[in-house]
Amino acid sequence: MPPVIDKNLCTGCGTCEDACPLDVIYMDLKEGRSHIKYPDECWHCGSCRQDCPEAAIVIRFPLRMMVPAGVVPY
Amino acid sequence: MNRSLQDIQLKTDVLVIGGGIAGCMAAIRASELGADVLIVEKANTRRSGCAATGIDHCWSYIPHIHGEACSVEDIVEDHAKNAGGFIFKELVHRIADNSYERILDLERFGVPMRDENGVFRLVKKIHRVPSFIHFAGRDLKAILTKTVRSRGIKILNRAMITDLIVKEGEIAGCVGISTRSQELFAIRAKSVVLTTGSVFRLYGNPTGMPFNLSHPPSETGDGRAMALRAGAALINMEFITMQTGPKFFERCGRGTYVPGVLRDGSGKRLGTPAEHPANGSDSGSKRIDSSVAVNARAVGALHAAVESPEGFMKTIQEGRGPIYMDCTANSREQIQYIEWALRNEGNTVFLDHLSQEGFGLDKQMIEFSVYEPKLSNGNSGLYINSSCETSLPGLYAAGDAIGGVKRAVCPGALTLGWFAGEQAAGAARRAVCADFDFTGEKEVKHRKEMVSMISNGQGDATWQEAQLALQNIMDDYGGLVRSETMLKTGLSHLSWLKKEMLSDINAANPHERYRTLEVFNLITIGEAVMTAALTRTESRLKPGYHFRADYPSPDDTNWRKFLTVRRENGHLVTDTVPL
Repeated sequence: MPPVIDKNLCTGCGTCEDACPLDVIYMDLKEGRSHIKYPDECWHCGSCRQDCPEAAIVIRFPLRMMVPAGVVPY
Repeated sequence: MNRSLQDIQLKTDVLVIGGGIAGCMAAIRASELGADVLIVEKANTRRSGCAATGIDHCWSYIPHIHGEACSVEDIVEDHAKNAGGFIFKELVHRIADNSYERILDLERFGVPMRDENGVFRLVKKIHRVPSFIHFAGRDLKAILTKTVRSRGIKILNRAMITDLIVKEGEIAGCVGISTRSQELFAIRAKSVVLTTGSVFRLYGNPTGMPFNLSHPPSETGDGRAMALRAGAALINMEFITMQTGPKFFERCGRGTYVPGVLRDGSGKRLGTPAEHPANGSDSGSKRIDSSVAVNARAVGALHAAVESPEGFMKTIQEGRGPIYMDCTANSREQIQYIEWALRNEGNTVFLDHLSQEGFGLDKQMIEFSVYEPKLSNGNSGLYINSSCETSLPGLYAAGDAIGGVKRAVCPGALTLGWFAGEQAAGAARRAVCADFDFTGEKEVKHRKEMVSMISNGQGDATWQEAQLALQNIMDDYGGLVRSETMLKTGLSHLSWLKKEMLSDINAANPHERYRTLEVFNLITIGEAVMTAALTRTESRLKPGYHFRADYPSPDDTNWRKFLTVRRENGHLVTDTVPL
């Protein structure tokens, strides 16, 4: 899951749902929390994390996205 | 899913399709002039479009700073040179001439455009003077949304407009669907502004993750596709462009953020050396804060290197890769500036990732690569005249949806958005608004039929499969190496894909439904790209990349002109327009 929502911190305010430019975050009305309904369509933009008032979101990067950072080779 | 669609009929004077920077500016201006305005947005305007996560740069001609060193005409010339002459100078002139007014508007709305001392951070990029303002634009869209709402402009979020409705040769409104519920919107409008942004997800991403893009994957050229279907013309569709950025981490290759140096696999420096310091003889930079001048010099140099995907590809092909961005020699101040700029462009995830992995820009070099091809914003899109009107009366366009104005970018969205809103308000005043039941219109009926077909289909195909198939076709037949036989085959494959989708796709819910319609739009655009590429029997690098293996050289005698594409009697036809 690209953004990981901490269930204990999430208050269900819905800010992340509105912040997502790809519309992949949905409020789970039964649980009273948000969840990433379409994780494969996540842009990894971090808008949800930026706007979350409870700092309940962390972005998890898939292996495929790992930036190769090199040491100075000379 | 057999639940039928619920019709919602709406009415407005000026309809703005796409709530990004251009759309919000168009709406604000049209509303100022007394029009009733409705913005329809696919996600939520507070974080949508290219500035969804923020924006850190916007060029402007600032008379009291640039006036001594250069004129608006000089800026237009620089722009024309950057596009190899393939540019509409009148539109660039309007952008440059009005850019500062719109910057002042942003300040009035509450966007911090200057530093704490009231000075503009100015950086030199494509113009002869430092004209790119670096600013703290992280919450620009939220601020614009607040401004839009405060003016009484209505916003319909989470709705995808799918078709324009044309009556007696003029725009009459549009039809769209909700991205989450069973609603179908039929909207009556006196004039329409198309500000739907650019086109992404057309070509395959090298990581194999289709939503891992440097630009918003939500932008699927819906405006271009619906305009084409309605009979309007597109321009420059044969030209593609590539961007460079951190390899595999394609959520970062945007913005003006890394004043470092490029190096190849053996550590040799790539690209042109640092330009003459910004605070040299260029009088326009006298007013620039001296600490920024350092960044201005470095970014200018970087830009020359980074802006050459062909240079990147050549280095790799010659075995001299990998290519690294080296910021290890940067000062602490420069690194902090990079981080500040990145945060405002909204690329915080890049910084997150570096920090999670224990990397630092000052400690490690970052491997860079070329990203997938795409149509370039403002360059390949809706053909508009100097009044921002498309070839369809009553239909205006602005922002990244337009064509023929390479590098219009943020100032283009601000100025032409504003101007399109003004024009649309004028058109709305003049329009005769006949009331009629929209649900009977052929476009509405057709859309309902199509939605029903893809929602209640017998097949099991998913939109994700269709998207991959489309990208495979575009990559192989309409990408970096084109030829007559390949393009014709590609067009035939796209036609096949459309038919297969209509009979096999099954969209289980409104979300999948709108994703499916996005793929259909991408196919329509792919057809325009291939048709234009087939017609232009030459190769060219400016205003964008178009390489024909069967015509590998530029042919200025026959091809130093624009090419437009439009639909006529169900087929795509091309026309030429003089430069």
